[in-house]
Amino acid sequence: MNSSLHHAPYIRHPESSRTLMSDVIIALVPLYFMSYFYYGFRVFAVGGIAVLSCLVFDWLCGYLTYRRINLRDFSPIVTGIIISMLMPPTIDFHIVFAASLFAILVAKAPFGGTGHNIFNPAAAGVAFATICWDSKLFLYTPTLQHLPMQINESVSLLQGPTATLKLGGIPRLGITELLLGNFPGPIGSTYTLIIFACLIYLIARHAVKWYLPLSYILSVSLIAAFHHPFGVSPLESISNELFAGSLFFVSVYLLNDPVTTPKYHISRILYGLCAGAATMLFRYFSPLELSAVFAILLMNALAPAFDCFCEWLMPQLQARHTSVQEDTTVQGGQKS
Amino acid sequence: MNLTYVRKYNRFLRKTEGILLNNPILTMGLALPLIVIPSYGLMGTTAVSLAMLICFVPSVVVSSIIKDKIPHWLQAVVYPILSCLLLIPAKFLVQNISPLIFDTLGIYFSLICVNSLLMFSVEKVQQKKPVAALVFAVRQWLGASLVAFLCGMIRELMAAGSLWGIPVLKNTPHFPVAQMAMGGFILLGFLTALFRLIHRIILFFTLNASAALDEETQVTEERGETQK
Repeated sequence: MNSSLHHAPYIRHPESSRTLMSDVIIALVPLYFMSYFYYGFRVFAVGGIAVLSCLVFDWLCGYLTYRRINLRDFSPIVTGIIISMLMPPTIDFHIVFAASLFAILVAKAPFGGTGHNIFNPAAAGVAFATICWDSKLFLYTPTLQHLPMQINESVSLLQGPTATLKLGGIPRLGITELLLGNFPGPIGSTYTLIIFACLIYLIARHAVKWYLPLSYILSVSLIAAFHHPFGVSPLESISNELFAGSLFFVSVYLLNDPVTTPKYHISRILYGLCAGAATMLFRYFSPLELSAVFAILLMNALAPAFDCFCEWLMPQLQARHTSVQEDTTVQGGQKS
Repeated sequence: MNLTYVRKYNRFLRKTEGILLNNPILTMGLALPLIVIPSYGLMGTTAVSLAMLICFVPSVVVSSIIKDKIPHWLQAVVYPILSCLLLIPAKFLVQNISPLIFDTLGIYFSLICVNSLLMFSVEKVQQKKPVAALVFAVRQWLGASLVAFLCGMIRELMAAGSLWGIPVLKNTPHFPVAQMAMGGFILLGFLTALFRLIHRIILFFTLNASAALDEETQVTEERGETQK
């Protein structure tokens, strides 16, 4: 008999942490080019600071906790890029640095590093920056304006369409503007068309499960359609809620973190639905514009509960299914 | 192995029982909300520490005097009530710190009389004499106050760049989250980790020093043998 012994793991997948993270990086890079086109070189500086600080602090925390530094671990790069994407183009560099520091030092390293974190580090970093500097985080600049490195009085700052939505107003944005992200907003989270293309790429590469963003968007859309402002059609309300801010970006890049999402299909769908509902609730009843990251953090904490619920639900459904099958076979036997 | 320096370090730690060794906040996590939330700055920390000194220490000493004279089930009610009574003189003392101190402390000033540190200490001193109970209570209070002052100082510096309202850091970025409860709890977590790290570093150096001493004694012994 010609057999060879192998060590565990016996189930092998072509996808690994490295391939998943590199796919996400590939799906994030096009957003930088679009934001460079709209805002100039400053966006690269913001991204560079976020990525570098995330990498350095991740290595430092690994060294302090006696973990081997893994140069093939790209997750700090993804964290840094996502943090920079959710920041406005005129953001001070020290805020980006503080958000990255918080993401790695508080939300990731104390829980055991990559693969062990309970909360999404990027969401935690952005939430921290939102709580600390909410006045600076929601001031944007008009597009097609190349920004200087040092922001001075010559740069005009204005509120984005999410602020208008928050006040109960209607941001009159055309469908082209919404799809291309041609309105004042964060660095890289408003380019709907590119994000959608990246989502397709991620789904094709098995880095994202299609039903997770779909359930999230479905839940958001239902609430937006029922709770549309006076004089706005439900469809316009849905498009405004989804594409006028960072919500679509969050549904693609933050919600699908393989570490913090539940493990079962049904629990993931429930997770997405609840995350969408929580996002809309926070959006309507909280004073902050960027509510999606807080909803994601809340759902991250509840992810094991969704899995537990699924573990309880599955045997119940299976038992019911088998009892129904037995009934039908008994009835079939009697008939015959 | 020669463990002279390690023993010396352990002896020093035993002398600081309740303050550095077995700190009620850092090691046991007692009275966390009471220490973390009002320690938004040095003023709040001073107020809470003073009030704790007046309420907590006498309550623990009285519990060691009374001991088993009252039933066990009643003790959980009697000592907080005693602590509540002591809160009245504490209020008069604390109001001298700042006219707005009670507005900033809120409910946490009243909560000083009922906390897990009091209940833990009352249970601990049941077999102790009053003087030993007094020493134990003062040590526990000092340990809690040390952490609270450290927290308060760092939080005020980070959030407002000042100490006791006096500006210290003027041109540095401020972190308003440091004055929130969330910031306090995160800071306390990092302080705990820092104290643990310092303890490990000291142990590492004392062990190395002991090993070096061991080698020296071996060398001198060998030399003595060769001379003989």
